[in-house]
Amino acid sequence: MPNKIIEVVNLRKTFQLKQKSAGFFGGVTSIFNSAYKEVEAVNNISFSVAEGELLAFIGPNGAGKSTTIKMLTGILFPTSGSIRVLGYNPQEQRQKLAYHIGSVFGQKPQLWYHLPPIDTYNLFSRIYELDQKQYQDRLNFLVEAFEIKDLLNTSVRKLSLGQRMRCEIVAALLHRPKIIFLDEPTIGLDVIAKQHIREVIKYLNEKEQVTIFLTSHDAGDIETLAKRTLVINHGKVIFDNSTEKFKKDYIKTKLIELVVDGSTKDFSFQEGNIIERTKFNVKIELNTSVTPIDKLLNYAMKNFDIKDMTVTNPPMEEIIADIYREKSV
Amino acid sequence: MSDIPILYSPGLSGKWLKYIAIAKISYFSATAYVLNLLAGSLIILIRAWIYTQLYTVAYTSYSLEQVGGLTVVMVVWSLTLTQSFQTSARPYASVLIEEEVKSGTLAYSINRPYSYILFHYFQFMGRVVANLGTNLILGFIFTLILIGNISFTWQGVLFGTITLFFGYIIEFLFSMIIGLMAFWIEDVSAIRWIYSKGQLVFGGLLVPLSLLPEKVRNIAEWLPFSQMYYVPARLLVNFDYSLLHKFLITQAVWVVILGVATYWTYKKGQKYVSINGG
Repeated sequence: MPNKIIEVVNLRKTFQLKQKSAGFFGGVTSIFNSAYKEVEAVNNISFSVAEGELLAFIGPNGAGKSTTIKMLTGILFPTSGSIRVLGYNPQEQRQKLAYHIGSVFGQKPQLWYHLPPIDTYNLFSRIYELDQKQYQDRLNFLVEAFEIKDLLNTSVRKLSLGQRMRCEIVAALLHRPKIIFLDEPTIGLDVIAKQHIREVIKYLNEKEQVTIFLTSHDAGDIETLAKRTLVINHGKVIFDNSTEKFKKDYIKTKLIELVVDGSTKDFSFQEGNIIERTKFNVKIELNTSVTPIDKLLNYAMKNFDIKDMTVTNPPMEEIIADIYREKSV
Repeated sequence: MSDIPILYSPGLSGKWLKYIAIAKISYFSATAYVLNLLAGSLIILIRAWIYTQLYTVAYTSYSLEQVGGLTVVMVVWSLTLTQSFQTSARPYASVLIEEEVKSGTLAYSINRPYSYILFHYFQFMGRVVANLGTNLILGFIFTLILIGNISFTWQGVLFGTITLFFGYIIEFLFSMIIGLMAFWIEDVSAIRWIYSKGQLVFGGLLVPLSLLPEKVRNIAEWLPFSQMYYVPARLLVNFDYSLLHKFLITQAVWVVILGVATYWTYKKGQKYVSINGG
């Protein structure tokens, strides 16, 4: 049985949020009579991650995903509970742990904004005290794998979001971390860039056996990448099982949006649920385990002149609602 | 977990190389846009011109040769120097730390294998070196044209440089403490405002402390504000052995006090870190 590389037991984190009434008098009153609201960002969660695992840690905004990652990496101190990452206590041994982990936090940059990525890479090679020969070999390999050769000497501020994200991930991998924490790595990216990042993540996990702790609220990331999914909501774990089960039970439907040339008045597809209809636009919810998408497309192409089409997963909030619904039953 | 393969090569030299690399990248970043760098120096030239007008009129109106041991030429040079030193240290370390907390990039900067305080110190010094060169060259040329030459002594240059080095440490530590307060309170701009005004009044940026009434000067010379830039500027324009001892002792005391305070604030503050956003 593989090593448990992350162990979390009864972890809690509460934040004190200052409350203030609206307006000038509210502001003055709050100086003399401060009221605080306690928010349970993470509420007594326990889980473990095995070496080489690719875990999707998902949930809607404000669920406690990032707070958990920040406690696992030692940035935030838990209110109670215990954490071991690679055998280290992240809060007490943050610097030692830092040599062995890498992190990418969504849209927060770690590359120096006015300089080309190569400058940040050289800096990191010193910060992580890398042997310079090994660093060069590692850099050459990553540059090749992530296809960033042409970006190395371009100022970061001139890179597109997708290009920058690839460069950000390379920065997190130079020191060969055992675990990489990816917090919303595909946020804000277009379909192609998302695909590219997903391939890279998959490669890291499969070829380099890097343990990956991935948070996302894009169901597509989970579907394509993770073998195990852990869903968190209001600071509590509400699902912890295989991604296969998660998909089977909760991502049963796809949303297909069609833009047609002409009226959608006569659009009628019995095997799907039309959830929105405007003059040129129709949105259908389709249970893909029963009806394949191409059946809908065949019908649409036969009867309408299709101008545009998008396929999306149901929003995370809906998946969460489904999980709760099933639990209450 | 003992079987973790490591790539890094630990050692004392490796530990310090990282800080030098931080200073280097900070220097590169500050010099990435030459025009920006030059524009930052413009403010010193404008202030030098204002001080020249102001102090020339004041000295000639009262037919003064020297005040507090300084001629009008020394006063203008002293002010140009303090302005150049101070402008080179911008933006404040506290601005950067507050920004890190607000933007959430603290998650990266605090989470690397280095001392967070030294990381900011070397970043600060990289910025200082980049700005100081331009500020001093332009300030020198312009002041020379405006008011004329001044004779620098080798002792003044040597001890001016040494005390400037300690002056920057004091500036950094003071600003770092203010920045670290952002771990508890979100907005530290009010504290920074008070600090910058203290520096302006007691730091020899508007009036050399030698020109102040004796009682005020005695107090000001013990405050950390004067130890940052006034001390090196005073030694550079008119070196005085009797002042050197006093200045070095005062600087050492402030470096120790602020160093301990910075370390303590960081140790306490890291438990209260609350990063905005996901």
